[in-house]
Amino acid sequence: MNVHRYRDLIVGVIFLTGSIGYYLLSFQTPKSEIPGDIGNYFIPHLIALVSGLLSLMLIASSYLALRQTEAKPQKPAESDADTAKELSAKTRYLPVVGTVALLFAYIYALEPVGFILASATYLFLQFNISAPADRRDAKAQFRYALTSIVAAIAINSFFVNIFDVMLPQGLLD
Amino acid sequence: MMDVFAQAFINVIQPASLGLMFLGVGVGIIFGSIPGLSAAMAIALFLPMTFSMGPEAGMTLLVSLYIGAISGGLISAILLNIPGTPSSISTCFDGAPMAARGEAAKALGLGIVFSFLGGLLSFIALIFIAPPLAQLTLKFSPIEYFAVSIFALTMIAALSSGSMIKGLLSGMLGLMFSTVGLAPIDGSARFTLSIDSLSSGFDLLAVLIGLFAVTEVLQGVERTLSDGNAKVIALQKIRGFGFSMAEFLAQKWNLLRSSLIGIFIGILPGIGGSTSGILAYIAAKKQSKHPEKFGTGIPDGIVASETANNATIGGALVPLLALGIPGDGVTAMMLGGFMIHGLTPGPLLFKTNADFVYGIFAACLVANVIMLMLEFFGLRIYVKLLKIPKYLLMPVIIVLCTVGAFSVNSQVFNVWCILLFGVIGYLMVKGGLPIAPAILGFILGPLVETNLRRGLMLTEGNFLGFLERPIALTFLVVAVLALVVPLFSAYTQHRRSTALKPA
Repeated sequence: MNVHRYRDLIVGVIFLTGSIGYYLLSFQTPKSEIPGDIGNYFIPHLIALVSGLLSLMLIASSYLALRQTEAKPQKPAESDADTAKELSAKTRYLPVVGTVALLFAYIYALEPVGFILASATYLFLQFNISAPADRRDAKAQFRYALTSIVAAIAINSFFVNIFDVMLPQGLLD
Repeated sequence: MMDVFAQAFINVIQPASLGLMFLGVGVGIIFGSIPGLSAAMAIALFLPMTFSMGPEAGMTLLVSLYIGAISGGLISAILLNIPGTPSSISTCFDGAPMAARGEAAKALGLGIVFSFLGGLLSFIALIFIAPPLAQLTLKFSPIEYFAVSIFALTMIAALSSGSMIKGLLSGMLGLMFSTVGLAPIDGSARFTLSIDSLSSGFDLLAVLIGLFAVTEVLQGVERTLSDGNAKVIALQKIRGFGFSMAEFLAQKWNLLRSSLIGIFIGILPGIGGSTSGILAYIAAKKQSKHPEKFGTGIPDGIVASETANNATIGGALVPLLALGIPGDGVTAMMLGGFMIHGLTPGPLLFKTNADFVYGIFAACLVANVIMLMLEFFGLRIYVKLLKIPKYLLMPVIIVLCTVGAFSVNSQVFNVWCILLFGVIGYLMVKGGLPIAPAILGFILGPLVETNLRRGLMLTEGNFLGFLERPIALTFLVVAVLALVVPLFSAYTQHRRSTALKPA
């Protein structure tokens, strides 16, 4: 499936689901006791209603646009190009997914391991995820390791000593 | 007024304040000049640092970052043919061709000087427009504030790039997140999902850092693989600013016209420096005796673009300071800076903290001069910084974001929030949704709800009472028109195109 082609439809469905969920959740809010007040429901209900309507408009307009595109005869070469595009998309998004996973681990380790150690490890691994394939040799690894350690220590010293920020020290405490 | 302004000026030129301004402008230029980094990201990263400063020092730093970052975009626009910030898109049109034929120094000189002049004229306009406007808004009741907030939100959603429906949906998402935590008026907990850390809602800083900085870093990670090694054009020896007095004087009408466009666009919510630069470029081309030369590398194009995008800064500060309503993502960040120090921009600030407001005016003027000096004398350093690989820069920015989020209240919860909002922002970009309306929705949400509820208490629950007040009615009508006019023109265009098609 070409995700890009169905992008607006997907966005519309996600927002519609979110709007319904938000509307249902708003009923957990306690009522306002202040006389003359419209209450705590009003704005959430209005937001849910408007975003629900906008989602339906987006779904309808993207559905109509899709029908118009499908009505036109498709060139066979186009589908090959689409497959090639999707393959390159997979290689493009892999570093993003890797970065999010790495960030998850970094934040999780921040307090128990400490800022300096967690940041230096994160930086070293992130450099390896983000760097182009031809820049991951032994010489580059040494440079990444050095940069990671120096950057983590420098940022820690700068914020702790100059801005009095209390960063977690973890294992180095 | 003059006494307060003179005192504010003396405070701003103290060594500590000047040091902060040099730091802010210098870092701002770096963020502006490196494609992928932005003014919003610079301010998001530096906001937490202003915690330990006084409000005057904090705002001085933020204003300096803003001025440096908007102007810095011209360096990469001319030397790399890639705009450092969206504001410099139209600088590429003539800057890059001039650099390619060996006139990089002249192009940069023109860009720097006219950035300075555009900024200067807009700050003068700010000083003269904001105080009387604030005086006028002193009479605003919750009803007028509700109408102005709706107007700002609608304008930014309707005028944001791409589809209007998506702009509005983005604003709705921001509004949804703004309702998490304690409700205004009676303080009941809403949408907290029984998570204690959510009882006071999402922290503004975490949302700003996540949606602007982390989102841009995730996009940067995606782009680094496709980025080749950008070729930086070498600089020749620069004499003076690289252009003659006659060439300077030839641009006087272009300077005036582009400044006015920049200031006007800046005041309107929702339209930023990129639009003002392009509009000024088009206007200069239309007024020119030789429009065919535009795009081939002529000074007029650079002057129009750089004058207008810097003039937008002063314009954008007018609604922020006079009404407390941010017009775009960067001024939303600045509003965050006020909130951190417990200050609410708007008419009351002019009355209770006039010295502080005039301090911001003075800081704008001085930071503009510092920008001229740093860009002129430090140009070769900034050119070298363009060569730092983005795959080394982006992860360091993530670590700085982490420090920023953690320092809000020394809790890892806020760091989780920046990851959450970073991922949401990235998915929004992939879904073609603009980020700025979400930020505005998040900031304006509590304002909209509080003022609506208070306004309804004033009118005893009568919604039509909102339409009986002329100022509120005007803003609400303009907000509705901003939504209806584009829809109507799209509909008539669609009708026309279907009528033209053969049966």
